[in-house]
Amino acid sequence: MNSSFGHHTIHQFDEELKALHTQIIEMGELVLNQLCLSLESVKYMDLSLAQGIIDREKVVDEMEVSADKTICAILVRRCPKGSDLRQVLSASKIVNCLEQIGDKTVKLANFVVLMHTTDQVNTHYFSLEDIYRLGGVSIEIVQSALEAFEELDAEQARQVVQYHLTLDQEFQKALHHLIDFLQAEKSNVNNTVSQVLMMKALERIGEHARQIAELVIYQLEGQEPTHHLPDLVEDFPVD
Amino acid sequence: MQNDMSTIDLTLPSSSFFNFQISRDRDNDLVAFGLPRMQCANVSVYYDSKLAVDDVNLKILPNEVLALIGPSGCGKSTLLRCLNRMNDTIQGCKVSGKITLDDQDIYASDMDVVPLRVRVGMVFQKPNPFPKSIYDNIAMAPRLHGLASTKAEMDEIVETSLHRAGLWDEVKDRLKQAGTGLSGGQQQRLCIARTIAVNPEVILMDEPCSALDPIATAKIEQLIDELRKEYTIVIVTHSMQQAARVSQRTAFFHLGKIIEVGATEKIFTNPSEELTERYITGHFG
Ligand SMILES: Nc1ncnc2c1ncn2[C@@H]1O[C@H](COP(=O)(O)OP(=O)(O)OP(=O)(O)O)[C@@H](O)[C@H]1O
Ligand SMILES: [Mg+2]
Repeated sequence: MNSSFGHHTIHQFDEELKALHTQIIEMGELVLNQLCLSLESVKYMDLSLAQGIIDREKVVDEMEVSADKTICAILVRRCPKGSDLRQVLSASKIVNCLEQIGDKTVKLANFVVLMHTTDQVNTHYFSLEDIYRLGGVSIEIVQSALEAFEELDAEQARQVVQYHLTLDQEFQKALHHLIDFLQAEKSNVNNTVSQVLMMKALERIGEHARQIAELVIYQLEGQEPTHHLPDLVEDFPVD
Repeated sequence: MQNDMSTIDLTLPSSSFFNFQISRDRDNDLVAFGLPRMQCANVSVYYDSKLAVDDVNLKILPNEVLALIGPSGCGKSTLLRCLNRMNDTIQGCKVSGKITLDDQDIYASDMDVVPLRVRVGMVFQKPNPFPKSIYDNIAMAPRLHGLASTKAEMDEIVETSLHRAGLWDEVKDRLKQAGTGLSGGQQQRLCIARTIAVNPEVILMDEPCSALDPIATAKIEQLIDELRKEYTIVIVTHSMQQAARVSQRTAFFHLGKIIEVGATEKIFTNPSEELTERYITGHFG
């Protein structure tokens, strides 16, 4: 049951909720863009591209601060209730997720900078295919979660939650693959650790996107997000 | 109307979820929680031919603050007045259905309204102290009901009532002065003191803070929270913030009907009914 910012008796309130929604869409677009660019910078070991991502992180942070202000103002002025309250609560958490995704894209960019400063631009020590594949899936998840948010589409949000499982599987696959790579002495321990951290960053990005999708469902239906306990399988235990 | 446990509409997590024991006190609390203090069954009220309350079913649980909210004219005050038969005196007002206090039908022919109104007290929107001294405002009803046999006992009642209403410190040096000389907020607390002086079981409040400033309102709300330990309170309020602050359960009225009643947090974050949602989010009218 969603009143989706139409026809409050106080019209200004509609505008404020709509503005908050738009603000988050814009922040989401920027973060998604950062994510795509960060993968590209890894692919081509493009230093200036990586630097641009790190610079733009400031803008992401500013957007977070600005969204927080909007949220605070609505809470103070309107004391939202019902679906309005859920929208504002979700917004606050989604902003946080986006900020975290932003942080992770900077991690990827930092990795490119590190390679350059330590003169290890030779990427054949990495199994980059795995990074690309993971990256591709994480982009799709983030994109789809943002679409679900923009359209307030609970169905699509549920698909995102489901699709997120793919990322977990890809992550596990990549870990195993990396071990083979290391055992075949195609890589050294340094590079392997870097690669694991990159993969982990991508896996976290997917997880934040899943949270966004669950928040969309909460906003629309009031259904509390479920807390997922990791399945006890023979895979690597990751959170 | 029976008190079988199956009527309890509380869903509690099983104690096995916790690795500690729920204390006995809390246990009693919960048991007490389940048995309604007052109950309305199929209550309808007409003013002549005008239907003001339409087939209402409502339980009022002990030691809860129950908030009644809803648009103007939806019948909140009318229902509230039924609970201690204040409607009896209104010409053309006809109440049907059954209202019980501890399983006793309050509209039964052998029910005496005077003791009923002692057990179910009322605080009105506009503070209405009697044109008498502060002391007499409180002492009048206990005197009438013979609750004190000596002056000392009466002094005691007056002092405790004023204390509990949070007014004692402000008026202890001027008990002989007129109650009407107090500020609006003080007058309202005086009226509350007057209501609790006879030890009611249920207190009905009809927009008790609508004429008060935020500080006086906060004092009344604090008082409501304290009174809840001993009394059961039903409050009509136009302020949803106030309902959210003071009540454990909220009932939403619309056109004389109860649309939804439930835990206050639920009503204000995720109500089940579209109409409730529209009202609390300000989509009405
Ligand atoms: N004494 C009366 N005689 C005739 N009709 C009345 C009387 N009192 C109330 N009504 C009618 O009954 C309906 C319910 O009134 P009531 O006072 O219970 O509403 P309410 O929910 O308390 O409204 P408000 O929030 O404005 O106080 C209204 O349509 C009102 O006009
Ligand atoms: Mg009224």
